[in-house]
Amino acid sequence: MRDLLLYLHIIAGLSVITFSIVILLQDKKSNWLKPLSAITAAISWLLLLPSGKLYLTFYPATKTLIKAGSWPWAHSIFMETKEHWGLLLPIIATTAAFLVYSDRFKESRKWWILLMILAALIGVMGRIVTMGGMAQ
Amino acid sequence: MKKFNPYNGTFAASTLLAALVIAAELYAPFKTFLASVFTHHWIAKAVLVAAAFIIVGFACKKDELFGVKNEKISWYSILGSLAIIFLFYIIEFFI
Repeated sequence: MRDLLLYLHIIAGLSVITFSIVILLQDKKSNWLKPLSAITAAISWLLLLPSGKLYLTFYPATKTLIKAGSWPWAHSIFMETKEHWGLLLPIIATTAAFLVYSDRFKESRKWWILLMILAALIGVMGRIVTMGGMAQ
Repeated sequence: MKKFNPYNGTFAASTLLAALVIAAELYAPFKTFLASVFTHHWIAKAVLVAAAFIIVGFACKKDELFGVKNEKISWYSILGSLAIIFLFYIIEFFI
């Protein structure tokens, strides 16, 4: 169960990054633009489910391990930041998708870029947290 | 799409999140209260932030907030919120 949720949230996060890049490469007249924007926004909301389940059910044991190890800041700074930054991913994605649906593609570009960068940073922070669990 | 203003919703959601993070960390009874109502403080923040985004997005349709274009204010509020949350946890760890 834990591994399934772990891979699901990684795949969803990577999809958000990949789809944002694909959207940014589209022409504003592309037929793919609106459906792809809606799908990306939907994934960013659904991403909260496996992430939340992992954080609430499986992370507490890892947290104890990290805080007792030599990298306690991996939890105190990076996990705490990551878990809250993640709540803004669907907000950013929905705003970007709404701008696309309102035919303001040019205006949406910086929101897709922010979404892509933020999702990537959250992924890097996740890696730091994992390394924190192994640092004894 | 004209009925929903994502910029105003984004401004409300990002500002609320930064405020909730700081308030819950600095005042433990508030964090306990959030957890008691929503089973966990993270779920409380997720529900309240999503609600703020939707409610303010539908209720406030102005193109300007505090005399500033809402496009600009929502952009800087989300960047500010991200920076404040990160800096807050760095400061909290070292102090």
